[in-house]
Amino acid sequence: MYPPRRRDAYYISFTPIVTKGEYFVSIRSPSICVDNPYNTAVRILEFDVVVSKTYDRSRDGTLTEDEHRERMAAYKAIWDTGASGSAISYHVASDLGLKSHGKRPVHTANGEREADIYLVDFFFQNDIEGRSMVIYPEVTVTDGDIQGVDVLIGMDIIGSGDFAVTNYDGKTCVSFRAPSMQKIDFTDSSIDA
Amino acid sequence: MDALTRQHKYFKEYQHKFAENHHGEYVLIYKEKERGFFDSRANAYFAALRRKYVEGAFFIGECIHPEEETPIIFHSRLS
Repeated sequence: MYPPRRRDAYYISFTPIVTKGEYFVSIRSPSICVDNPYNTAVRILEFDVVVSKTYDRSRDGTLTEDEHRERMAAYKAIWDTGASGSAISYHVASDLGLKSHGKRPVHTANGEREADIYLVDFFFQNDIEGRSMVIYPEVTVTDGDIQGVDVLIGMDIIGSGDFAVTNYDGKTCVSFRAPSMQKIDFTDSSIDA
Repeated sequence: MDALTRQHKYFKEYQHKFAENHHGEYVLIYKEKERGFFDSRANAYFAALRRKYVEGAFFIGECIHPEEETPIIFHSRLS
């Protein structure tokens, strides 16, 4: 695991990088998000994600840094290929003052129930130092009691791009980019070690 | 019964009608009345905020038939 960051570290490269119609935006690497925080092999793909209440970029323009600070916070998340959608804990919904605007059936180990849903923006770091962020705006998430972390990044996001987990040299590397750009098949003999 | 639950109940009552007339769109419901149909959940949400509807008291539902609804599945951590 890498050490938790101060929330301030997430505000470095915000400002005028978000415009309507762009789905993934960052200063350094448009359309690519790389998450590579591990120096050892890990069994839980945990990382930090910033969650924010979404806003209408077409009308409200770009928020100021202070406005961003008001409406967002960093939480522990995991990449969860066993989740067909993304989810936030009750704690995140309460912490950010989110109000539900709908309900959606969810099926968990405890059975099926109607979960509240919210619209949020996710901010992923796209370099190891956390100097730039990639935004994934207007994500529909459900809420629930999540064990161990506060956010599940599910297949709604993972399935929108290319997602790789490698463990070369005993170090886990997770990498994600969207949109999908290439098929990667390790059984393909043309791929060298 | 809270306001959101009431709007949800209204949506379920008219879900078939919404699905027949606006299939695939998103309906915005406030004070137990439909207030418009939108091409995305986000557009419905932003419209509600622009109209100063009270957050937590309006409902946005996808106009599909109940049998078309699929639950979100969590195999591990969510309960």
